[in-house]
Amino acid sequence: MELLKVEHLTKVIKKKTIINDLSFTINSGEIVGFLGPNGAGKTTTIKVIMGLFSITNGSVRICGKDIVTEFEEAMKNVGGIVENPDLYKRMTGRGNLRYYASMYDNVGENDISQVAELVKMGERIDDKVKSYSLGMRQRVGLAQALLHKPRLLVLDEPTNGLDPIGIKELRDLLKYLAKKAGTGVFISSHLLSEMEIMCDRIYIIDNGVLIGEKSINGHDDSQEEEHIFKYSFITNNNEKVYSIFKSMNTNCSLTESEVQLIMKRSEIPDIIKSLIGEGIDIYAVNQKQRSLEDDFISMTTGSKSQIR
Amino acid sequence: MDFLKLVQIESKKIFSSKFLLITAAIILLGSIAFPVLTKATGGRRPNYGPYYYYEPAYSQEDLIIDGQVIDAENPCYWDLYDIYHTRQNIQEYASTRADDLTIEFFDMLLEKYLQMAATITQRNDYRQQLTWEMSMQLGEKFILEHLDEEITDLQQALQYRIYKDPTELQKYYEMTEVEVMEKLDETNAKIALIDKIILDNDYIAFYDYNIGGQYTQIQSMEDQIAVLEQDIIENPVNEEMYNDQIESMRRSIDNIINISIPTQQYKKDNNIVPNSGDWREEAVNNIESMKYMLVDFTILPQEDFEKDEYLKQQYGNYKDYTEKMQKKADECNEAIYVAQASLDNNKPDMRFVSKGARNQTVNFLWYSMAVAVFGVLIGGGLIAREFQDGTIRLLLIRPKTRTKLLLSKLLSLLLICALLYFGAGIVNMLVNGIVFGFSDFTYPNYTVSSGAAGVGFLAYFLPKFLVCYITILFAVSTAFFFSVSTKNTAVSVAVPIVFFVASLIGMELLANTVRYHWVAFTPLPYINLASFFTSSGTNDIWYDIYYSTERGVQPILEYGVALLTVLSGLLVTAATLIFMKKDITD
Repeated sequence: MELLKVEHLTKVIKKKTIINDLSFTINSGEIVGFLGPNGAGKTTTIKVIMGLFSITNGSVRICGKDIVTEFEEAMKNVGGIVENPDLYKRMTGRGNLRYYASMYDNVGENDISQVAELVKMGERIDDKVKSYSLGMRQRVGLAQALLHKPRLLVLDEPTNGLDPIGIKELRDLLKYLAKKAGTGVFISSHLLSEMEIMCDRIYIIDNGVLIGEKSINGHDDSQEEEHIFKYSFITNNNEKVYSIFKSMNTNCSLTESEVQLIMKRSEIPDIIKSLIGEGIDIYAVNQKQRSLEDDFISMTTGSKSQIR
Repeated sequence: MDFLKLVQIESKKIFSSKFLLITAAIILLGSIAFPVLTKATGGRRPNYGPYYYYEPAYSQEDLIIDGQVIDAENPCYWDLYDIYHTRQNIQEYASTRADDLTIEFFDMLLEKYLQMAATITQRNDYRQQLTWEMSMQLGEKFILEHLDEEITDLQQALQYRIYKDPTELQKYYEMTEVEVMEKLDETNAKIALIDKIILDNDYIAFYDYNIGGQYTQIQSMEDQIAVLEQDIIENPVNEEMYNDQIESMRRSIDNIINISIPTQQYKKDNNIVPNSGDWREEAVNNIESMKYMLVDFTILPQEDFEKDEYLKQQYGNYKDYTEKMQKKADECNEAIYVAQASLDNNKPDMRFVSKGARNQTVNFLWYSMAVAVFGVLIGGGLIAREFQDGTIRLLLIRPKTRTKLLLSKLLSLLLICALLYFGAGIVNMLVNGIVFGFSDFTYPNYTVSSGAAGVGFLAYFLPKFLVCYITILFAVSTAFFFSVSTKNTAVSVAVPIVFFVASLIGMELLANTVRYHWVAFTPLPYINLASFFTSSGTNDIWYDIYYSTERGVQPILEYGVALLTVLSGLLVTAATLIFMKKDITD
């Protein structure tokens, strides 16, 4: 089921297009990452989804409700953190939760205690917020997002200020919510490694444009014939191999011990045959596992070089 | 329903602020403290009576004469001081007959003044008016008893206290013995009467004495008129010159007969103790001074106005002049009506009971400004703080529209202000009742439109009580507007407060200038609506009428109330429109 449906979303601020014709969806039970370099438009997108920014063009629907025309109905189904979780510092953590809880129907004292426990705040929930560390504020921030058991969770950089244990707990919690309650999670972060282990799917955004979508899901794509991988060649004459690759107009590089080549998997056998034909002795050819980081960097710099 | 729930939530949130509780406590405390302090300190300066005002004799040493101690607060202090020291000086160097006479005269004065000083000890004692008269009569008596002395010696003996022209003195010497005896008897009778008033505190005799004085004045003016009329018959050329004088004296006589004498007569008939704080005395005096003012406010015919350069300069054209004079006359007539109705009903309007529960309650309306400042302090931060702290982001992602959230915050603040304002007002009213007596609340107030029976105090007070809340509404709306549009707490608090203070000062500067009529159409004169209702008391009513009508700016209460209400509505609407469209960038 589609919890979030963003269609042709465009946001212009002061004549500058911050996000341009963005379309994507998030389904029930799915954890979706939102990745991009600084200034790519991640936070702007999240602010538009959460109703903090107006929409220049396009539409956003949460559980089928348009956030412009059916704001209240739409917002009942979403919880989230936008930028830093800034709470009322003079109130206790519980006081903050109580205040937010009162804005929903049927969120009671029990629910407050429950979410406080869920984010492992313990006794500290009854302390004033001004005494909290950033990590604790993140936890209360998460708690307020979960108060009303939203079907969609939108989290802007939620791992900021969390220690490694906190990050693991957050990951476990989100996975639990997605699996057990079917919550859809939309999470922006610049911690790529974290995204890889947490998310099912990742959207990559740069300069306000969606430039890639990648599903992770533990699915091994190293056998995909049409995929591009990085290969390293170890031969008796690396210099010659490098010049052959260059003459073939390929994306290659030479290191001390090997020649690296970025190439479609299906073309590798022919390349090996031609090297043998040139009389080169091949000791080893390795196919390297592509990481998300490689994708991310190649995609974003790629798009930048196109635009600039 | 949804909205009301939000109002409840926001009120609860505002109420959890320590700052609010402290400020609210201070305002409530003020409503209790003011009546108590007013009572304890005696409030405004004491009433020394309508005509007499002495500078307090700070740190003057007591005067000790023949074992009698006269403190500096004694109304006879300075006369005695003067008489005693002059006499001492003369005695030291006495050489001539004139010096001896002076000492004799001063002994006579000293004896009488010591006697009076022993009786008249309070500054506000009405009898002090008679001390000067007494020394005049003693001088008269001294002259009549010493007509066998040289005229120059006699003049010298008197000169330190009473100046007599030699030609005036000469008339005494020309009198026959019988005439002298008659005059002496008359003078002795006067001295005896004054003595009786002073020593026996016989104020009925005092009123008779005053009325007698008025008739003497009338007689002397009629004599003068007769002389002038005789002169006109003999020299018709002088007619035009004297006619104005005669007419003016005839008017004065009419005024004495129609205004002054009935006032004294009323006090006498109703057994009013002078300067005792009896409200009826204040009411009667009020009627007297208002009637005299009315005489001044007679509208001149246009040709006379055109001839009078001073009037033309002051009022510009005849139309403005007649309007202003009419307004002053109307206000005088209203004041007379109020005083007369109070006397007729024998129930005082609150203006005659300055230290009464009603007056104190109405004057406390100014604290609407204090509540307004409180509202600005909270209202300025209402939205701006959320922006500055970043909490606005977590607030606006709730399933409530921005308009609802915004207006619920505003409404809850207005409700809290109302609670504080009306609460403090009611507390103040009760404390006033306890401190100054509840019976004062049972008396009516009077206006020309309310009719002779007047209006009960609650009916009089409640509309004013409500109207002053509009000051608070306007202050809060202004702060709220800036809070939304600037997102800065300091600016949102400072701008309304600076504007309020500037408007009060600006009004003082502009109001007295005849040219700035347009100011009455701006919000400036209406910021502090309480100023329409709180008064400075009957002592200054003459000043109020005279200067308020001379002002160029003539504010109209109804207009001001409508203007502030509409402006508040516009500010809130503008704030809502801005907020609805705003991107929450930080």
